Amino acid sequence: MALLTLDTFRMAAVDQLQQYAQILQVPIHVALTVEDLRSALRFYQDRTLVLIDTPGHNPKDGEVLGQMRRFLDELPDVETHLVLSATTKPRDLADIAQRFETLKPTRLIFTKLDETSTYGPILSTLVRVKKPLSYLGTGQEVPQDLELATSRRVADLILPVPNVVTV
Amino acid sequence: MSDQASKLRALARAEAPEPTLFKSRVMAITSGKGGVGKTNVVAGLAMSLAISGQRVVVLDADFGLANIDILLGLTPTHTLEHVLRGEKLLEEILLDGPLGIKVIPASSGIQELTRLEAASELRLVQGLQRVAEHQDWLLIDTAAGIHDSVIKLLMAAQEIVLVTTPEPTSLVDAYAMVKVVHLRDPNKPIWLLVNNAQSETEAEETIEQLQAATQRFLGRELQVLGLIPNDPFVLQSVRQQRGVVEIFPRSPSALAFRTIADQLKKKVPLQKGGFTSFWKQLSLEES
Repeated sequence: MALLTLDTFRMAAVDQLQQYAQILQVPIHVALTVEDLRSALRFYQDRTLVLIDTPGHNPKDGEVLGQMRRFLDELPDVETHLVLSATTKPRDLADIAQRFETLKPTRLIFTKLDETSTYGPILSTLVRVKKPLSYLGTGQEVPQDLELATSRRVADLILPVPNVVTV
Repeated sequence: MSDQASKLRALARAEAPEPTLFKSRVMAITSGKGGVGKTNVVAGLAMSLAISGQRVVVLDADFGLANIDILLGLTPTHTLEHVLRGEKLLEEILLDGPLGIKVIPASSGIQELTRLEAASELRLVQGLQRVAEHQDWLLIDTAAGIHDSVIKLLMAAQEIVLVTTPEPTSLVDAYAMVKVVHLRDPNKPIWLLVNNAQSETEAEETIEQLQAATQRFLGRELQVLGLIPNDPFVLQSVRQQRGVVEIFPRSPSALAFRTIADQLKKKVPLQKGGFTSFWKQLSLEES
């Protein structure tokens, strides 16, 4: 496995990923240009998994979005997961999902499930964008607060199974 | 310490053996004056450490006149220049040198370390960090002389080997180098190595003179690593573009290199860090 990051906008982000890489004993590579990214992917092509971190940014910033798109266009074989927060208002979620269409995400990840108690917007977003959910983030602990998303889990979030006590 | 990665750390620990105290020792080899055989010393030490089972990578940081690849008869197809431009990863330009040592070749005339743009510096430093993860030693062949870029590397390294010959000019320049380093960090370990000594007496006199000066003016004693005797086999090996330790293992200089390498292995400096602190320092020294 290898870690790549395109996130150099926040220096702390590189530092943070660097620490994770050190704990896991995996190589990390910061790609500053499309050229960097190409070299790194060529070098790590035999790895089972290459995870690429990208900078988070204001979805209304079309310029940054365009830059990201130029990077991702370099990577035709890469699976792009769009990370959304479960605490975002439903209308904003719809707007963000629509703006990020340009990056052609294939899957969605919802985080911060522990910070909300209304899960409806997750389902409506999934229905709207017609893309599968890959993971759910349920807290800040690494790695135990990231779980594989299943339809059963989402159904349970929306229609919780009542606690039935039998005497 | 408990943070959001506590559990991850515990999981990783269960998988891997406890890391050693010093992951890799980062040692810069320098000399005040040029032409004292510094690059020969780097090659000799690297090969001697390799013979004793250590994994060694040599960084040619003499960006002005890069030549350790020539000294070892290596022909790089790509150099640090390609790494700094982002065209190659550092791993891709690593050369396999004699006795299993790895060499990171520079190319003559590329930009000095101090003048690197942020992107290039990040590429270099991150590459070094990845490469050093799998090595016991990172030896840095610095340029001669007291330039900003040399000082920057010296201060970032954990330890410094200062090479001097018995000639007065070399000695004076060596003292100047000690002074510059000492003023920045009085605790930085500096090992003194006398190269090209005609006799043990001559080497001892050289060491005494330098010690007297550093003690008197800086109140500091240098740690003595030893001497490499004047040895015709060195010149012969240079002509053949091979390391003296490799092709003349019984020559006086090769034996001296082996002794010094064993010493270095035993004497671990009391400095924290290892490679991680090296690259953090390198970034900090930016100012």
